[in-house]
Amino acid sequence: MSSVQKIAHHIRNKRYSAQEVVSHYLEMIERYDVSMNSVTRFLKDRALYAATKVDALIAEGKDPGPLVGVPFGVKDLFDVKGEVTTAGSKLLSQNNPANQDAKVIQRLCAAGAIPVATLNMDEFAYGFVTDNEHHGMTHNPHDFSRFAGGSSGGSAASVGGGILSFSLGSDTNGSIRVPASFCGVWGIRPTYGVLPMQGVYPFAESFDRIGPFCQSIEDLKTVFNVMAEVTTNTSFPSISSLRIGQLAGWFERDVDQDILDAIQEIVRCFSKQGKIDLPHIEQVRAASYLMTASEGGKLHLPNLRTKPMEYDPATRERLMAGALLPVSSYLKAKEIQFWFQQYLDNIFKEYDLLIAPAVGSIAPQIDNPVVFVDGKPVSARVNLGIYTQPFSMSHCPVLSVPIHRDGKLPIGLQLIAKPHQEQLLFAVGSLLEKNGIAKATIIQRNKVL
Amino acid sequence: MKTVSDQVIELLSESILLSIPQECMEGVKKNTQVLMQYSQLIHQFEIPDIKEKE
Repeated sequence: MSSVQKIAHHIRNKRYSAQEVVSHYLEMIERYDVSMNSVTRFLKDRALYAATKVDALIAEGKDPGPLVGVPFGVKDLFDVKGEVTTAGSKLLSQNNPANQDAKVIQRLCAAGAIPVATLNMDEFAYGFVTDNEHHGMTHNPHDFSRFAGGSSGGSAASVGGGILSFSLGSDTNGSIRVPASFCGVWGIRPTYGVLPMQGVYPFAESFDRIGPFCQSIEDLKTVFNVMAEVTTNTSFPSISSLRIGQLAGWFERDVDQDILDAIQEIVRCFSKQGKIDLPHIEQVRAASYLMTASEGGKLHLPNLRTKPMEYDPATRERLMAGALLPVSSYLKAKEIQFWFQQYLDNIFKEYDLLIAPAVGSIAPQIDNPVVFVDGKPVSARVNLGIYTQPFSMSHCPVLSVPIHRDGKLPIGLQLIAKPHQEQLLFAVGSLLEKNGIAKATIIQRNKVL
Repeated sequence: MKTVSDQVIELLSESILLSIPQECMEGVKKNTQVLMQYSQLIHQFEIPDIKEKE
């Protein structure tokens, strides 16, 4: 039984009370998060109060919902009622607290889930490593000397580190997919517009998405369906009738052989396979980079004018440069985005799924923060998204598939479907997990549940 | 490609009412250089037509 389902089952059947479970998770976080540094704030009072309400409903014979009593964490850019939404910054820390939860948090709480902590991120989500000037770095749960990835590093690390059963993150250019891969957990970047963004601090609105991190594909589907208010079950043809395209060219360059082998193992599950060299990916990625820089710069311009020194220098100077970008470049990048979306629409007439790496290797070392692009070492903070950024330009949902390797660090892949096919991704992910090809790497700490 | 000068940054930033502190200038120039390279790359790109598949 999965973690989320197990917790809900035990609480619904009164094996444990919600208060016991929440207290247990708060204690686990205090004990085990010291080395990871994934949590920025505890929501202890709120969580314990919510747990008493859940227990009271159960005592009355009522069902609080499918996520009854399940503790979860949220990236620091989600509004949590009564808390200041900092987006990992010092700048916003003086704002008034949110007067209501973000919409998706409202939905999760209505289903019985209980937020227990806010989670670390790169400042304003502008990074791929979760090295926060104000809260410190979040470390990879499987090797503290390595990055957790970002910008949703706290969200991914807490789930991979076994101190939360699920968490919420955001993905503009890869900020769910990169940390999910490095921390060995399931994640999803949904279709544009499927999840409400109300109460989520933005970065680049053309690309911003939110989504959960979970320990199993079943949990991911359950949590996502609550967030998206999906109630109907969809059936799919057997996997053997699906057509999968492996992305070559750009998506094979500088990628470790282990990752390419994992892709091959998945591709072999499908009787209809092909290899696709998507053209002009260098330009698509450049366009994504420019649009992000420009939209982020424009968003922050009022604060850059008045309080520039309250930003992390690494974030500040990127945002300033983005604000200076000529509009003709932004508009050209938008044209490339539109072209790429049409190009993918065409590809999806021939294929049901596409598969590509999410990252080129295991998590980089913190004291050697580089990745390789065209064989040359470049900054990991800025360049870890080279395989994820192109698909940020599409409206497609992307499943972050964790590949567990005994004795080795986890890696992750992207499984891409056409828009609004999240349920297809979950069905395929479920099959890969059942066959032992895809599996999360979770530090087992939970001796109670 | 030419390197970005302080003067260019100052002119552009003045046009959007952004005053860049001196200690930020090197970082802004470096990041602007990267953006200009990507900008050049996409402007050199002639977006092809797409042949619709049946």
